[in-house]
Amino acid sequence: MANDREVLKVVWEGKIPAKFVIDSNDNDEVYYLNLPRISYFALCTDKVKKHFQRHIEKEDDIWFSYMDVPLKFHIPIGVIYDLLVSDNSLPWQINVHFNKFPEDILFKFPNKDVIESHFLSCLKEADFLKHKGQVICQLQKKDHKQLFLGLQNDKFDQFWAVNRRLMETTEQENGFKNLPLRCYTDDGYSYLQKLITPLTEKGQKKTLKDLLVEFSTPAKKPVGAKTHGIEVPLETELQWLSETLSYPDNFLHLCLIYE
Amino acid sequence: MSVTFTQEQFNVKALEFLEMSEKVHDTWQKEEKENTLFLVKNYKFTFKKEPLNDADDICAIQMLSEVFLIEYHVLLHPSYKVPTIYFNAYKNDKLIDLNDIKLLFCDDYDKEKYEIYNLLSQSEHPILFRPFFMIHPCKIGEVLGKFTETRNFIITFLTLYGPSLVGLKLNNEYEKFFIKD
Repeated sequence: MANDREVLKVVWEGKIPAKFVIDSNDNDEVYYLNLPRISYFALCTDKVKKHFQRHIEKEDDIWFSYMDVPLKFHIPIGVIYDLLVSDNSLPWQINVHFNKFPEDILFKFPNKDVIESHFLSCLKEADFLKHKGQVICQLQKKDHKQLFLGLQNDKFDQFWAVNRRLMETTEQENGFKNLPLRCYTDDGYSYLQKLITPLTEKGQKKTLKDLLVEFSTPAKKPVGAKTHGIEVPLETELQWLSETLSYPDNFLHLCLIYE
Repeated sequence: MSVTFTQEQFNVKALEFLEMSEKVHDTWQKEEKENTLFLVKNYKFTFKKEPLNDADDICAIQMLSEVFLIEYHVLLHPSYKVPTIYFNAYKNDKLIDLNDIKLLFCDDYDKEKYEIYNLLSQSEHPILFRPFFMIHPCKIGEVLGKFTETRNFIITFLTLYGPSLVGLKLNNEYEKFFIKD
């Protein structure tokens, strides 16, 4: 793990420049933000709201969209960009809305506590897959808090001081029990989730290539996968991928590439 | 001992449950997507509570004798591999939030009792990818591990979690399928 610290750091520092515009014809005001890929839109609504405050006619929930697709609050920003922005254009132009909240598509995050509890529930699920939930149970409440605050305040060392324990494996185990991962298909936000072990039945380390086979159907065969804006080499070992390129929620979010 | 189930096991028991549901005139329906089966029931719920003396609780008073529509989905959680309930509740076609849900299902307004509602969380439906509320599955495997003799683990799960947490009651007639000849 220690040698991969630089990779962890690069993943942590990934940013997407974004241009927020208000969704109305008679307003050309813009607001620019450098969005951390690993963070959530739910954590930047306050800043955007503050900027456009005087244009809000009535207090309603704020939400964002790109090309008419609502941007989900509970999926990491980098995943949404990789899924929706096919031409990689920058800055990412995002529309800001203050009415007609699409409650059938987006979660409401009325306050930070709700985001925090959602984030912790992802960590819990990931640890259940990796260690049957035994590591997260041993962490104290203040450790849980430290993980969320590390993410919220963009503090790499604070986050990794605790997250390191969630990423540990013993020598006998030779990897996690199952790998927490979501494979997004090319159909909007829908993804596939399966129990994937890091080793083959013969005890060999699985690579991304093996994973793509497991997510193939007779009709659809993925040929590659993208995460954090990069296409992952096919021979990359899955266990390493999980330890190093997972988002802070401890899940690998892979956007499958089809032929 | 904690237990887990495969999707195949879930599918078999879900079909068995649907057969029983039909026999006792319950209204469960089957939904299916790529060999993943889940059970759906829409339920009209009339909220009738005695008016409270506590004048502070305006919200609760307003909710008196209102009709809610609740959409229950029972499915196998993709990570925890145990059955759980996903649900949404609507009032006048508008989704209601977690606070109102607590008021809706809680027998009294005892704040301590709200603690059990930490078991409910907002979660994306893993098959429909829409926002739902979910009974958090992390302890369900342990609880069901105490009932390994059961003929149908979905019914056992629903009996244990449905009525007490999310107002989902199973008709007593389901019992007759469990009495040995």
